[in-house]
Formats: sequence, structure tokens, C-alpha cells
Amino acid sequence: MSTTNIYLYSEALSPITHMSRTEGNEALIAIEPVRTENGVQWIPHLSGNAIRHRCVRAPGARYLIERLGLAGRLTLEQLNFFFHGGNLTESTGKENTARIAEMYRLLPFMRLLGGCLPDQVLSGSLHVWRGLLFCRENAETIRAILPEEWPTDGVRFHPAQSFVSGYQYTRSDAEKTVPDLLPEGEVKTQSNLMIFSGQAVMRGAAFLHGFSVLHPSPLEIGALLHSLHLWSATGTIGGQAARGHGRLKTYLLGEDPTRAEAVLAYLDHVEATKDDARQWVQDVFARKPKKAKKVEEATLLA
Amino acid sequence: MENTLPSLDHQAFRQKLAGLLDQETPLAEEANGEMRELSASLACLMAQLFGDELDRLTLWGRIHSGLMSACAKVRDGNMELFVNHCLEHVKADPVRACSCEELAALLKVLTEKPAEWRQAFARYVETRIYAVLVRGKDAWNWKKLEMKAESGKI
Repeated sequence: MSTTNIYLYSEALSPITHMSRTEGNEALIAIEPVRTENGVQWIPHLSGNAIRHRCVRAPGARYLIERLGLAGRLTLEQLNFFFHGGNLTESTGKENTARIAEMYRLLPFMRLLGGCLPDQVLSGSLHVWRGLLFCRENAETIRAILPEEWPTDGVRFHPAQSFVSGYQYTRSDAEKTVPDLLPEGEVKTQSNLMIFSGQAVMRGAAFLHGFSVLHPSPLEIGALLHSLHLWSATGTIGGQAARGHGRLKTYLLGEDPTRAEAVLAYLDHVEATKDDARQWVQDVFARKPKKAKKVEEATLLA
Repeated sequence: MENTLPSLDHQAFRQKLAGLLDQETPLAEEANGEMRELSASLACLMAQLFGDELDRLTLWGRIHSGLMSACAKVRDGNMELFVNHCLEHVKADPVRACSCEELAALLKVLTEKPAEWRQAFARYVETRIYAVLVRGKDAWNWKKLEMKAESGKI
């Protein structure tokens, strides 16, 4: 019985706009209350929910679907299962341990993340931590999270507020930008011009985050590391990625030669079991035939 | 072929952290009070030296945009440049500016402050602009009364 902790250091290569809400046209970044020696301070953070989906589930699910040859062949329920955990669609739940064991064998990625079969909820082995901004207010928490061999004693970070910046962009109007292409007699109804703005954590900031995998198999670790590797190719978190926001450069803390081996083992496993895994997905989500309507006896006798 | 994320050892991690550390001496609490006074003085001087060719009705709008523009352009705490941007924006007459004793005194105070104070001053103005304008206008109203009293009009 064990837990594997994986620690990550992510530095912002572009402004990070992980939003909590908008006020009018202004996007406000996600902040959370933290009790410090100076009272409660509100600190930017990255939610575990966002990291879990963007960095792990989405890239890993897409990889699996492509390797299993299921692209374009999945129902909406199956797609939601892979990408968003799915939900219960049957009226009664079932406990089918053989089916769970089979899923664990064929799809270690789904063992990692869990999900909902039509009639059964399956918990995953992955716990995702929040992304903590390296800042003065988080110093104690960071020190408590990192193992002893990664000391941060005596360091004095910048305050959180010094990492928050703003942005403003404009969506223009074709009437002004390409008037030569307008049809003659076109009547203007409403301007397309819109100015929108928001907050961002600035480039150069950094976050500590990580994962705990409960009682993991090497294949689950491989699945997790492989997903992170896939994500890092474009590696964004938060919004406004279309405008260059959200880019992170992520590092694993500590060197471990078994990581590459775990990923290779996972990739080999996916290849070896892809036919059975594809069949399992199709069987578990097979739509049941509708029951014939029961004819009332009185109607029969009539 | 790499199939995992790159990793950091202890030394590389400490080097990364070094870029996030605050090397500045924290400013004393009373620095905010001083910034409050000096920023209001600057806004008042911008009103006092407001160019004749500008529409007086745009006075405080112009002072606002002048201060914000100076904050955007001066990021290294250069107070000569900061004040220069402010006065250029309100088209201050150079002859009146160079004979303004309050301006000379303000420049002396601002330029002799340590670097971290000067940078903090620009951030203070940028992040508290409405408070700066309100206090600046208040200071300007008092200044006008003073000027009227000196000229014997009261």
C-alpha cells in the first residue's frame, strides 16, 4: 500500500488568465483566501479541476481514442466518459466487480481518473493538487508541501499582488477594417466593436503543483506522465490561449529514471490491449433495446 | 526520444527560485503617507502649470491621463522623466515651470529618494489614481485660495 507523489514546477511563459468570473467585459482571475500572519489575503491560484482536465484527462483521453481507433465512432456518452468522467444514465446502479477489474486491466488511464459507467460510478486513483503561486503569502504552505530535501527556508518571495497584471484587447468591426469589401447598400445594424480586458498572472511567475496517485500501478504512473508530456507540447492553462495567454513550461522535481520506463510500459500496454479495450468500451456503453410495451390483459380480452 | 517532462534537480530548482525572490528592503508603513502627500502635490502642480492652449474644462481628465501615461512609460523609477511626462502632457509652459518653486522642491524630494521608493511611488499613483486626483484637486482648491489671497482679491 503506497502513495506516489509527483511534484511539478511550472513557470509562466505568457500571462496566465485562469478566470473565476467576469464583471462586464472584464475577466477576473481566480483567487482564494489564505490566512497569513497579516490576516486573510486573496491569492491567485490554479484550480485542481483545471489542471486535472487540461493537463491529464483531455490529452490522455484523446491519445487513447486515437490509438484504439475510436475517433468518430463514439457516442456522446462514451465521449463524456473519456473526456469529462461521464454520468449515470441508467435508472438503477449496479456493482459489477468483474467489469471494474477488466477496466483496470485494459484502461489504466481510466483507473487513474475514474468515471461514470451508465450504471456505476468508479473512483480514480489520482488526486490533483491546486497550483500554488510562488509568493510571500504561500511561502509557509510551499515549505510544508515540499519534501525536506527541497528546502525553501529563508527565502522571501515577492507578494502575490506584484504578480498580477492586466490586459486589454479589441475586437474590431469590418466596416472600419475592410470597407472596400463591403457590399453596396449594406445597412449597418450594430457595431461589432468590443473592447475587453481582464487580469492575468504575469509572465515569469511560477506555480508549485503536483499529483498524488493512491496505490498506483506502474502503468497508471506511466499514463499520468504520458498525459503531461502530451499536454506540454502546447501546454496552456486558463483562458485567452487564442491570444497567447496561458503558456506554461513545466518541470518535474527530482530526477527518476523509472519515469521514462513507466511511460514506455504504458504505451506498450495500450498497443497490446487496444482491441480488447475497444470491445470493452463498446460493450459497456451498448444501448439496451427498448422493452416491448406490456399489453393490459383487459385490452387483450376486449 | 523524450517522453516525459524535463526535470529539475535541487540546484536548478534553487536557481529558478532566485528569480522569484524579493531582494528589496520593505518600505516602512509611513512611506504610504508620504506618497499620498507627494502625489497630491504633483497633481496640484499639473493643475497650476496647465497649458493655456488647452481647454480648461479638460483639466482633471488631462491630469488623469498624464499621470497614467507617465506611470506606463516610466517603469524604472526615473522621477525626472516621470515629472517631465506629466508636465508635457498638460503642455506646461517651460518659463512658468522653471520659476515654480514648488516644482523645484518636489523634484528635489522625488529624485533624492532611493530606487525602490521611486518605483513604489509610480505604482502607488497608478493603483490609486482616483485618490490621487481627489486629493490633488483638493490641494489645488486650497492653492487657488492662497493665490487669490496673495494677489489681494480676498
